[in-house]
Amino acid sequence: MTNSRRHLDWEEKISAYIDGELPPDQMIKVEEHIALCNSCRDFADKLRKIKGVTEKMKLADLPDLQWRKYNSQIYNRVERSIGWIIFTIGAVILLAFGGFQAFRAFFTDPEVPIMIKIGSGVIGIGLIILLVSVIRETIFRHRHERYKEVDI
Amino acid sequence: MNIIGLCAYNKSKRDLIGNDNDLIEKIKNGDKRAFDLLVDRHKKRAYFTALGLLGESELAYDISQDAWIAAYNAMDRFELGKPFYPWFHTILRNLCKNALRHRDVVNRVVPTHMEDNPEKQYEGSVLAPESLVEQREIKEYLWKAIECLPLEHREIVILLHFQNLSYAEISETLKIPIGTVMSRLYYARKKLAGLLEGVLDD
Repeated sequence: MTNSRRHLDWEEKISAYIDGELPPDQMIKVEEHIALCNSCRDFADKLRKIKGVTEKMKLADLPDLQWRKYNSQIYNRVERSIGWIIFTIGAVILLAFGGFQAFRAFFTDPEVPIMIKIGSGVIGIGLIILLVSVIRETIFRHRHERYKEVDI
Repeated sequence: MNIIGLCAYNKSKRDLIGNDNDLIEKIKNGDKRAFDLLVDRHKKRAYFTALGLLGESELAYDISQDAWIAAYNAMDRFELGKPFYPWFHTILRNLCKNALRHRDVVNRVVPTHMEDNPEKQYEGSVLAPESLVEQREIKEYLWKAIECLPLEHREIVILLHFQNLSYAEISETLKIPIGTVMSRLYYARKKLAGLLEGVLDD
C-alpha cells in the first residue's frame, strides 16, 4: 500500500473516530496514530471544529399552523391532480372531435380551391411530423435521463 | 369538520397506532386515517431532509408533500415486512434531486472561497435564528459550504448532523453499506474542511 493510500485510510478512520463509530480496538489505534502524526492530528482538529459548529446548528422549524395544514394540503393536492387529469381528458376529447369536424368540413367543401386544400394538407402533414418528432425526443430523453423522476 | 367530528376522528386515528407496516397494511386496504397517521409520524423528518437538501423552506414543504403523494400512489408496490422510511426516503431524495436539477444546481462548480460578506446571505436563512451574531456568521459559512457539496455528500451530512442518525441508521435509510457511509462522510468533511480553510481557525 502506498503512503498516500495509507494516509487516506487513516483520514477516513479519523472521520469515523470523531463520531465514535469505530470498534473499540480501532478507536485506540486511531488515537495512537493521531498522537504520532501531525497532519492527521490537524485533520482531526479540523473535523472536531466542524462537528462542534454543526452540533450547535439547527434547521428552522415551520410555524405550528403550517404543520397543522400539512396533511390536509396533501389530500387537496391529490384531489386537484385528479381534477386536472379528468379536465385534460375531457379537453382532449373535445379538441380531437372539433379538429376532426373542422378538417372534414374544410376538405369536403367544394368552394375551397384544390390548391389551398393541397397546401393546407402539406402544412398539416409537416406539423404532424414535427409533433411526432418532438414527442419521440421527449420520450427518449426521459428514458435516458440521468436523474430520473421517481425511482420507486 | 366540526370540533366533535375532529375529536372523534383524532381518537379513531390514535386507536390505529401500530408500527409502520401495520399502518401500511391498513392503507393498502383503503384506510385513509392510517395514511394520515403515517404522515404524522414521519412528516417532520421528511421536511427537514428536503430542507437540508434543497435549502429552501417553501420548496422543501412542497417537495415533501409531493413525496407523500407519490408514496401513496405507489403503496401497492411497497413490500410489507421491510422498513418504510428508507423506501420513502428514496422517493423523497429523487424528487429533491429532480427539483435541484430544475434549479440547475446539482452539479454546480464548487467555489474556491466563500462570499466575502456573509451578512448579505442571512436573509431567508434556513437556520434557526437563535444563535449569537458571531456564531451565526460561522454557521452561515458552514451552511453555504454544505450547500456546495454534491447531493450524495450533502445528504449524508444532513442525516448525520441535522437528524442525528447513527452510521447504521444512515446505512439503512440510504440502503448503502456502512463502509460507503464512512467514505462519503470522509469526502464530504474533507471538502468542507477545504472550503472553510481560514474560517474555523479563529
